[in-house]
Amino acid sequence: MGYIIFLLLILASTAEARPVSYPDGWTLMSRNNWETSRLHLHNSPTVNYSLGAVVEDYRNSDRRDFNLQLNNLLLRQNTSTSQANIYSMIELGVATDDSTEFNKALSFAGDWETRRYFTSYSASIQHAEVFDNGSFHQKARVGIAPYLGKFGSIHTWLMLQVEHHPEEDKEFRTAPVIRLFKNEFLFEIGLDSEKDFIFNFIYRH
Amino acid sequence: MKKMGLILILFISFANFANAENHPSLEVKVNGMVCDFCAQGLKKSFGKKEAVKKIDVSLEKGVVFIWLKDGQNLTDKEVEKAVIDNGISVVSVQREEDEKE
Repeated sequence: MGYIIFLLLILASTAEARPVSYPDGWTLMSRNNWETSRLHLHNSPTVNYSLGAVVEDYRNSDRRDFNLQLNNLLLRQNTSTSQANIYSMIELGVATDDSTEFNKALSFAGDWETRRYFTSYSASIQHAEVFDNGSFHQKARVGIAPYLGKFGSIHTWLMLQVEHHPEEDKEFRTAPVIRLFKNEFLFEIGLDSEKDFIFNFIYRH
Repeated sequence: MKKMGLILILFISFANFANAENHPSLEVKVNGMVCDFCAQGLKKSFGKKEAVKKIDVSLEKGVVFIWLKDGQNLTDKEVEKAVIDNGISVVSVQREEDEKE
């Protein structure tokens, strides 16, 4: 079972994308970075919220989290050339290792993008007795599209990501990230300042 | 000469038919459709509607083009609801017949 979960986490990788999809849309998201491999499946009954399940495997320990996640679109601002969003994300579940503890996390995320420029910020706090005593994480991104692709073509974004993890030895990590997407598929690959790979994948149905 | 006239009439009829086929039934101008992922949702929502034959999107113009099946219709309200349900804002709905007037 553990092997299957591990394979799924590697094959599939939470991507830095919107946590709510279109009505009745299913989204499979996977994130692999220096800290964890994470697989997230969610359904959006409406464009305002999504409900999903998350499995997260920690690289440097035997910790594995199983959570349910509720994402809410709090605010959306549309203009003829841009879109801005603010989201909240709540995760509840268990963190397992030798023991099993109640795990909870709260995040807020915002993004603004045009067809040419992209910027996003997210902050989260997580708590699980024994494992995690209220750790804080934040992340920001800026990006530019080198060309403006037509609908259905391959779209490319060049991004710079900065992460801040105050409780970690390496408090700051920066990474160039390339995002490619076509139709329902999105891939991201990057290499951070500590030489750890970033690989994210999203499929929407 | 008669033959030439007949060919010309056939050619013009075909050109008119092809033009009508290429011209969308509805052009929906929207705000907030800045990425392909947002537009995919619109494509899926309209694709599920019985009246819709085909859909295309211009990200650069912010327009959704909808071709309807013969004899079928979508009201402005239905179009607006489908777009708004996807988190996109509607600016205007233009129909083929509006353009002919």
